[in-house]
Amino acid sequence: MNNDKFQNKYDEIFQNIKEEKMDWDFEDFLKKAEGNEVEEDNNVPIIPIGKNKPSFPKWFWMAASVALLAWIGFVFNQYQNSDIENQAQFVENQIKNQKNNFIEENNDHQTQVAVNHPADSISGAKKDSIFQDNQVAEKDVLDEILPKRGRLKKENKPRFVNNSNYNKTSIDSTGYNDSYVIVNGRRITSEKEAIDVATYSFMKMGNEFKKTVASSQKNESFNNEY
Amino acid sequence: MTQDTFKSTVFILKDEMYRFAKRFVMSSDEAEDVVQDLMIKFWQKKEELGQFGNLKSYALKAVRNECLNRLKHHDVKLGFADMQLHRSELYSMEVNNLKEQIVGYINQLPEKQKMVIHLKDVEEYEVSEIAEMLEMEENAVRVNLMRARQKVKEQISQLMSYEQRQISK
Repeated sequence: MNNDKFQNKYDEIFQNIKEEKMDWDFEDFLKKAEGNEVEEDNNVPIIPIGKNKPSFPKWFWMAASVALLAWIGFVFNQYQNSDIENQAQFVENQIKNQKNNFIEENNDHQTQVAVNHPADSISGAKKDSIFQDNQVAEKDVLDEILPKRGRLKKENKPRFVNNSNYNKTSIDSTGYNDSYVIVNGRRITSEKEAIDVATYSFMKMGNEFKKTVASSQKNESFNNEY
Repeated sequence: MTQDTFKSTVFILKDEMYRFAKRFVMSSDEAEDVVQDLMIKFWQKKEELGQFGNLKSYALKAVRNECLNRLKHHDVKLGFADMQLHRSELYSMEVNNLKEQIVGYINQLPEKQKMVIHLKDVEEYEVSEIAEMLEMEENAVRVNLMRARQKVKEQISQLMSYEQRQISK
């Protein structure tokens, strides 16, 4: 019973909702719609899409601006090119200059024979300990070791004065000098002297060998007796 | 499309559109405004309206979209809040106006339930038509309809029992 009552009320309410209507005539609507159309026609400005020719001043300014841009581009391009050429020339000159210096430094090593005396004030300029000439022992060690008869006649080492023409070579950046070798702290400048040193070394070694063999033979005989 | 054709096919939908709009916007004036705007838009595009097969469905979708767009607007939201407050005050005073209370309650239902119960029980569309109109599954339409009806009936029973208590006192 209650459910029917609620259902009736429900239907009634929805029936009421369904009966709601909008008070609006078609004529009113047409007036409004046409009024809107007229309004739109009035409000919207019509812009023709014709292909009118641009006026003279516009063309003139366009041409002038194009010419100006072309001129600026030309000037800029010229400036860039000249700058690049200058730089290329500068680099080439530098390379040539350094090449000449390098050739002067490194050609003809045999002529670089000028040796500074240890006491020479100029030698003080060289600081590199590996290549310092004044550390080479001037005292001949062989004179003390060798017997007098075995002494070989030493060849006098040539000494040269400083040659002002070779100032550049004396400050060779590498410090390399191939005109002599150093053995046991002694400077050997000639091939003969080198052979003598080698011969002495072999003689010394042979003597030591003989001594060793003799002592070992003594011990052997001792062992055999007992 | 001629004027007569427009009148007989599109303009006759105005009441339906108005009722549907009233489910979304809170005032009758706002609903009328929505319908008038849409009618003018339809009129301007009357030549293209033939492309849309089901004009009823198209018109109701347009109403829903227009209403939701308006509700998004900040001022409308504020107006909605004020209107709700106003209505609640009205209801507290006019206890006997059961119909208004139920309509207000329907308007407060979730959007899908509100649309489904309106289209089914007011406009008397079939479930399949509603499903097509709202782009929902038919089962979803049935579920929403059932829940909405249940809520409205509960509300009616509560209000009626309250009225009876008031009368018996």
